[in-house]
Amino acid sequence: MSAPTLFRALGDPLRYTMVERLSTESPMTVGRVTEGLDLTRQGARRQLQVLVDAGLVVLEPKGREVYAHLEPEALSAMHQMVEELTRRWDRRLDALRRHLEDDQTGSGKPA
Amino acid sequence: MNTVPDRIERSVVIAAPIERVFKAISDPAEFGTWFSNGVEGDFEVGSQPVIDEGKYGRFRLAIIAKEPPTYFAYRWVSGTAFVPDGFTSNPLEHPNTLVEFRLSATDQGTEVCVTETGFATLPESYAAQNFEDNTGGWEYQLNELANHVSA
Repeated sequence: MSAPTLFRALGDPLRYTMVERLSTESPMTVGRVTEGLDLTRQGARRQLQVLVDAGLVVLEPKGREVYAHLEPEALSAMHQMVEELTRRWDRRLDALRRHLEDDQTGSGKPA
Repeated sequence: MNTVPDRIERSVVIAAPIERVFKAISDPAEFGTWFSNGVEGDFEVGSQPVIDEGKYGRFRLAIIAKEPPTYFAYRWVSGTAFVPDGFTSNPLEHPNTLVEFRLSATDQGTEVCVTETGFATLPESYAAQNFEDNTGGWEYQLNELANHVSA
C-alpha cells in the first residue's frame, strides 16, 4: 500500500467524506458510511470498493450488516509522507532566509 | 491522530524588506538559486515553468497568482511518494496541491507563511475546472478551496 494510491483513492469528495466519517467512528455500517451522499446503492458500493482496493478501508460482514473500518496503517503512511514534505518546506524556508539575509550587505543587521 | 492529513503550514521571519522577499520568491532567476537548481520559463500567472529540484527531480509548476508584495501561489504535483523522479506534465490535469506564499511586514522584517493544501481532497476534475475558472479570479478559487477543505 503506497501513499500515492491512498491519496488518489481519496481524491474524490464523496470518498473523502466516507473516510472522514470513518475517522470519527469506526467500525460503522456501510449504510451509515454512505447515507445522504446522493448515490445509488450500487454507486456507493463502487466508491467504497475503491477505498477497499487502496487498502484504506476494510469491510467485515457481521450478521446481516456489513461494517467498514479504517485501516490505521494506511493513515499512518499518509501522515509520514506529509511529515516528510513538512521537513522539506522547513529546509526551503531556511534556504530562503539565508539567501536574503546573506544578501543584506551593509544593512547593519547581523544575520 | 486519526484524521486525513491535508495541509502543511510553515512560516519564517526574515530580516529583509517585504518587496525584497517577494522578489526572491516570485522572480524565477532568484527562485532558481534558493529553492531549485534553476528554472525554465517565467513566473507569470498562467505560465507553467519547470524547476529542477536536484535529487527530487524536475517539477512543472502552474502559476496561479502573483500579487506583489504579499501573495504568490502555484499548483504542482508534489512529493516523492507520488512521483519519485519528478513530474513535468501539466499539473492541472492531475491531482495536485496548491502552494501559497503569504508575506507580511513585521518589526523584524518580513514574515513568510507557506501553506500547501489539497493532499486529500482535490479530484482531477476539480483542478481542471479551477484552471478554466482562472479568469474569474483566484479569490474565487481560494474560497472554493477553503470551503472544500473545511467541508
